[in-house]
Amino acid sequence: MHADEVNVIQGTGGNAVSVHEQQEQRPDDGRPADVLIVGAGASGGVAALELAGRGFRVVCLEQGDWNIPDDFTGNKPEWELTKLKQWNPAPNVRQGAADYPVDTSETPIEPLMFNGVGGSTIMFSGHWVRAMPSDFKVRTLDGVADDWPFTYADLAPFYDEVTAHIGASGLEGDPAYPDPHTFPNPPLPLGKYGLAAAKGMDKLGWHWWPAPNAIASKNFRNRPACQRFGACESGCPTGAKASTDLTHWRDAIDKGARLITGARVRRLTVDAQGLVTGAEYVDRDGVVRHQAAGVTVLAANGVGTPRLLLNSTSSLFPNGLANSSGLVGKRLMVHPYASVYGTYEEEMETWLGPAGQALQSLHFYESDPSRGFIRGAKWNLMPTGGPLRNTLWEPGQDWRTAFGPAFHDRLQNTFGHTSEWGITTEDLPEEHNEVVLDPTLTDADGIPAPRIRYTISENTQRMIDFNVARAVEAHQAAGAIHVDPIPVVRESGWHLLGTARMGDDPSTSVVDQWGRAHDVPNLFVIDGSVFVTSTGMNPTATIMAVALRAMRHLADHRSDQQFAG
Amino acid sequence: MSLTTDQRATFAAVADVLIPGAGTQPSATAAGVPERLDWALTHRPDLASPLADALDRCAAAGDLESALDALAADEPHLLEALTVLTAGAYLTTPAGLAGRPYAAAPRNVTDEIDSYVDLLEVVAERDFEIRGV
Repeated sequence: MHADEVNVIQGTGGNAVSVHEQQEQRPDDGRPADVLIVGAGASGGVAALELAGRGFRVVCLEQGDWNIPDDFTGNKPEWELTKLKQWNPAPNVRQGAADYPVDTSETPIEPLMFNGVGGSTIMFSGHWVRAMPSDFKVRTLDGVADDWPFTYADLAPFYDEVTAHIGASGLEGDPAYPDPHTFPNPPLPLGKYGLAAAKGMDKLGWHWWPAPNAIASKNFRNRPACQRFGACESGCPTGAKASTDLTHWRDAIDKGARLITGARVRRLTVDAQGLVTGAEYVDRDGVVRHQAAGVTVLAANGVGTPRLLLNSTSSLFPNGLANSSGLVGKRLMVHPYASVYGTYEEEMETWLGPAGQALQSLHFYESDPSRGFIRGAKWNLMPTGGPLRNTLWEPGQDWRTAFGPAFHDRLQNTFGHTSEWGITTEDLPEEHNEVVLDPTLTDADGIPAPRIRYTISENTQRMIDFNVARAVEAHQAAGAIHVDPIPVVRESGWHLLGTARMGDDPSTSVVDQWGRAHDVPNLFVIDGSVFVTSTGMNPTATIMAVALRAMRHLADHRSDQQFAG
Repeated sequence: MSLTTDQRATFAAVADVLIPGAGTQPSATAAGVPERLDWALTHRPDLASPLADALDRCAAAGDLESALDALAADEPHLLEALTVLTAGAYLTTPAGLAGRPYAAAPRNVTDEIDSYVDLLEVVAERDFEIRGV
């Protein structure tokens, strides 16, 4: 749905409002914004709500559009057909009007994202997990990579605030954490398959806990309770999932933020003093426009942000904006992901959501050098979706393994009977893993597109092998009659991290701990690009907490902030 | 694009090779897959052209199993289109999932903590090393 249609949504106060009407009441008067945000996803939503609420004149440029829950197909018969194309998380598969291509010929992991209001929270599975204290001190504790410029304790209040704001569901008291952090909603159901997995973990003596999810288990503010369609990764059809179009953008617009959709930024502009002055963008009609701003905030994800910085060359910044360190686009981390499927004789209703995670384990999260690798992995137990997914033929297979006389038996044995232990591995930063500009590939507006170069390190491969073997044991302990491990899932690159890292030293980092570019004092980066290490956790909670910390600091110190113009 | 009469006839024949009847489970044509195909294509218009190509190759080959072998080996994207549309149509017909214990959502979230609280107490009482505090 386009924003230039009348788009009736439900405001947090329960009043039906129209995004279109709201924005028409605030016509673009040509005045520069105090703050320009590029990207209306997780971190952009946090920035807009915080800054608009603090009195800044905020404008956001978003290349995609609004969606409402009814746009998504998870509660409709065509769900699984459309999940393979229109609502696929891979932009290279989806190829929507808002998407840009990514050359993935040099990576075993396909990047996943959504371009629209809410960004990738539209399609994320909602695993709402904090990083561990050790994640911020990996150099000190394990002698690898770098420490973050702040600690878990520094970030904890922001985790608390964001968790309360988005209405996460979970259970207090996970002993894996130093603090019994709370959730505003009780945990979602484990389901039959989750209970079986928990009993398996109990047999083995391994950690598990009811999983925290950014999905409402009860009606929460403007969102209804989850109806368990299990379609989280193709857009929540009821609005129960905490995508930031629902949790942040409506409130930010209420507070005066202006969100321009269909606006694809092609480069940031700078003045003679080296301050960023705003952004050139291509609107939906192909017209090139300029949005001036005193401060510019990039929130375009770990691929989109370095792409934009590298596309923003000038005589002052010939190697790309904010790139004196040479690290823009470098140190890409993507969390190579393994799926270990267990099939059970008993029917387990594994089509039911949330998807979402039923439970998680941090048993193998911390470093144990005796395993042959440093750092570790987080496990999440997930359902496996609808019937079509259980019948798909994969290129390279004999078609008779999926179809012909095998069709009914395969469906009977797997659909509703198969759960997934998913393993998120902590890949460490390496400069040869990178986002660069492709020499020939462009998007529909002729803007140079990104290319990803990524290889799985030996440490990560050992981590994968170890954890996959343990997950096989976990399924077997839970009673699985068949276990099918997929050590590296190609379509798993949700977590795009590290390509404009934080740090105190301008020669070895792109931005400081508040997201401010070392080279450009009125330019901020607040998405997953700033991660120093990847942690082994799903990153959205950390991305939003880090963004809130950075934007609150900007607001608190506005008198010290340089503005262009 | 719309399929020709010949292509539709080929589709019906191929669909029954891909999804034959078995016991109480109906074949593709018995479940009404040919009649459901246009609905599937409205939701996956990108597959219309590869489907037509796949059907033409099947018709030219004569033996359908051999044709499917050739598609799998030489034109996997065509076989992908054919199988996704066939199964996608089948599994959304009333007969396609009949007889299976499938109680789809919506379903209300219920509080299940009592069913696992004993297991959880064991986890909570176990020592857990927290590094970096």
